[in-house]
Amino acid sequence: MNDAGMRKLLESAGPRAQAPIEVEERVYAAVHKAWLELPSPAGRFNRKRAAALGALALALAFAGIFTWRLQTGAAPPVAEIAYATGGFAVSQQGRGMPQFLTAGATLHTYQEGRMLVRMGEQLSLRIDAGTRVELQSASRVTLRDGKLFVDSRNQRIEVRTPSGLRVENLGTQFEIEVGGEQVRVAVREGELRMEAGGVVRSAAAQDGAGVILAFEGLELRSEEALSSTDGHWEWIHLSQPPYALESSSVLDFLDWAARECGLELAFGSEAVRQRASVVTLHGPPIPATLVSRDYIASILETTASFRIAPSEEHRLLIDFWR
Amino acid sequence: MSRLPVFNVADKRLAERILRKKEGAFDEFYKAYFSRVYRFCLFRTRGGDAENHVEDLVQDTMIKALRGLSSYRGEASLLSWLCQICNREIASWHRRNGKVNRTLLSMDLPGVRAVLESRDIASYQDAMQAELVRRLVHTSLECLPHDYASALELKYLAGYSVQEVAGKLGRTVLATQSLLARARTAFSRCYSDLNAEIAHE
Repeated sequence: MNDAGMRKLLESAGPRAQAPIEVEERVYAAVHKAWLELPSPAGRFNRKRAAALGALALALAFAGIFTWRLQTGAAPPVAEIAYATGGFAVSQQGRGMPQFLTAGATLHTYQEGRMLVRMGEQLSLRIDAGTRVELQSASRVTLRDGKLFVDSRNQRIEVRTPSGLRVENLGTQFEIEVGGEQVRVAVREGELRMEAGGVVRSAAAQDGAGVILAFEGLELRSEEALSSTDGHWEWIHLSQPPYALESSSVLDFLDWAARECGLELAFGSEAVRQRASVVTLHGPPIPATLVSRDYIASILETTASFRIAPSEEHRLLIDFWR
Repeated sequence: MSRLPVFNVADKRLAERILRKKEGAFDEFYKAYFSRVYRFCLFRTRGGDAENHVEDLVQDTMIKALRGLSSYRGEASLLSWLCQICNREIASWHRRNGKVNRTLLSMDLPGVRAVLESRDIASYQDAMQAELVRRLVHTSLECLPHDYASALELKYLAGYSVQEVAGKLGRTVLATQSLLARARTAFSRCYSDLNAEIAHE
């Protein structure tokens, strides 16, 4: 295309739309502020180091498992590190590999360090920054310091604290935080049984209405309501790898997203649920920090088949798009 | 777990520099993508209720993109990635505000067809052709690197001389001549490809 042809073509199309300068400046200020607030490069470096460590552990896993099975009396793993970010340390006896944790292993996350640990198919622990936790067995841990979120689907676990509090879940999502003598226990879903100095209590969340209890030593100091969708739970998204959306079924995506958001997943009919199990989604991985009811709706919109139907605040009701 | 290949190497590098808080990376990102996302959002919301909220939608899009940048692996271009996020922001806006997303005009609708058939089809076709060319030119410019599109617009739309374009872009005259030559070639190729694709469709 020569100069004259190029001029004629561009002139026939006219100029492209431009944002008013004041709009550009306002958006720049807001986006730049968000950029400055992103985690520091040091934290990202640690994440890379953690990822490299994870990859190395995975590579060693096959050889390690083989060796460990040959060794008579070698302790089997009770948990597995599924994700780690930032700085962390694993301490366990023997020649165990960092990814597989045996009974007695101690996990310690540093500033900006977070972990996701799986204990079987139905239970995971999300460990916040600045936390120290010991794995006594596949069903018992001791939280020495820091914060832990338990996500369980009908798999029991007992969490103990240095003050002597024992918390046992009955298939639930809950959080426990230890800072010296102070312990906070928050229930997001299901029911907990707590034993403190011989006194047994229970706490439950129903229809999105949870509860948070504060202990001083073994004394219960306060008990307050806490919604399953409260901002209190946002930290748990940081201990989670992005969701692999590509080729995921709508059902799997909804199951993950609803659980992340503290919502109860429901379908308008069995036909809707069936259809959701066969329709697949495509796209880049989704960081858990982005997921909200609106975000789920926008993903569903791309299928042109499903929508979020009006329902109670704690429920995510999915129906066909009509 | 195998890693997927990275196709958009330059975009991936820019994303990494932004995450490492490298000096100048943010401004490079903003300069290259703000206007394109703004125009995309404007186009997607034109004539609808969301048109008055383009500023908020673009701002939210860019902030969410930055916060999720660590998950960007370069499989799509950064522009495609941003447009995908923008689309979701627009859909969310409609949902939050109880508005129905605008449906594109379709000639298959009986009412639309009746109106069209009662008009002067020749002038309608001319108007459609002009609109198509406008879209093709603008889309081709959006696909080019930011400095290519700027150079072409300054030269052929604003009517500046090569010396003046060089002054506005902060380059030497020789470098600007070279830039314009590469920009013309890239534009022509993109425009032809799009034209051929539409003819094929």
